[in-house]
Amino acid sequence: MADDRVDSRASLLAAELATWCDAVEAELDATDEGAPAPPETAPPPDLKERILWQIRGEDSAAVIPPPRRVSSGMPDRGLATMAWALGVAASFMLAAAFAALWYATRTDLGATRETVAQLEGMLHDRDRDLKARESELAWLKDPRVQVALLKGLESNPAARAKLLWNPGTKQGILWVSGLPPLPLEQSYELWAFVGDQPVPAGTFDARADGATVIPISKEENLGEAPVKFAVSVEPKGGVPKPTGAIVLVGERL
Amino acid sequence: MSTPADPELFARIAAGDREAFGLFYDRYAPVLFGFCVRILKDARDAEDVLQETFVQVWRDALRFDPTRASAKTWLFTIARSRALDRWRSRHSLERRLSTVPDESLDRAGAGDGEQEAATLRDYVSRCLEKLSENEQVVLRLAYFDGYTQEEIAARLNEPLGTVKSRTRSGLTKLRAIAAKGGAGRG
Repeated sequence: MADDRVDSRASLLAAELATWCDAVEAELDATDEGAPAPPETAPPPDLKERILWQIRGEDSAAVIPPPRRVSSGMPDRGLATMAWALGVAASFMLAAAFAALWYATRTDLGATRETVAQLEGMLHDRDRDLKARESELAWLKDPRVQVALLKGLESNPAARAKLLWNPGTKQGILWVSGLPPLPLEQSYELWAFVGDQPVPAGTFDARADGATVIPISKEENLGEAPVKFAVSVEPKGGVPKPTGAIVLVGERL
Repeated sequence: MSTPADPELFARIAAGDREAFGLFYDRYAPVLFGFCVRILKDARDAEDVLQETFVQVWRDALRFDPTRASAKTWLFTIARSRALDRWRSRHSLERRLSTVPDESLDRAGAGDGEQEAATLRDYVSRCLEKLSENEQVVLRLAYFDGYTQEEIAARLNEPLGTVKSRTRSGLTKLRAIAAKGGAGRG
């Protein structure tokens, strides 16, 4: 058994020596001018390109070897390395894409939340306006509501006004158009005639664009059943009895 | 148009001329590849060695001394050295000896790189002792010192042809000695 080991060991050493002999002899054959021309074996056609690529990469300190041609039936270590490198690169790219997506989503989410808040505010305003309109509509549908139309006199023949009021709730609204704005020390004043006596029903200022809507609160106290109405120009804040020029007059319908 | 001679090509390669390097590759790659296949008996290993060799030529072109050897000799010396390194790495002595454990190697710490190199040197040295004195001298310089034939000729002050002739005859005998079972054990 020990002799077998010695023989095997000797043959292995002999193989190494024989290989060295072969190499030196091959070198002699290849370089000795007097020797027959050594056999030529074409290297892989892409090898030159790979070598040139490598030396270019070394010169620029950026070695990226071109893909190595795969021999049939043999594993390609260069390809495996490249596949591994591509895998790592793909992983990094995927991670970067996810990070960018996460960041973009986070940014978008913030913007979306802001937009939702704005839309919620707008919706709230619209809801409030809708309720106000519904309330107005309900008020107008009330059979107790009365209507009066007023027309301008000679100084303002194009002026018009429409008055609606509810004697039950003592609330009303006045639409005015065609009346010019007044000096700061003056205002228009609405009068409700109960019988022949004018009762002050509130003051207002006309807008430059001519359309004015004046709510009339219960404090104005139009009374139970006024039939005639008028608007005059009075000192700012109003007066108990009309003193200025009458600009609009009308009666209940 | 004829391609430039080796000295001119090498001067250009040393100056970083890739076109000259490509011409040099075209000139020697086929014979060098055959040379590597002959040593390694493996086309893939030969391909790797060929690549390593030409890359080293590019890197070390400036260090090449045309007064010591021809470019062709230098090229094949590089290739032989790398091919043998590749062969040894493929047939690691450590791995091979581990499959046939030997008591003396175990005691000496087999598996250590220096130990296995020392074992091989001892073996080669004992084989060389069976050659003539002249053959021993040239092959020791080639094996242990890695000299080229030109360098051995210059060192011994002998004609290059004489050195090559002694080398060839010594190799033939050495191979026969190895085939018969080597130098024995002592």
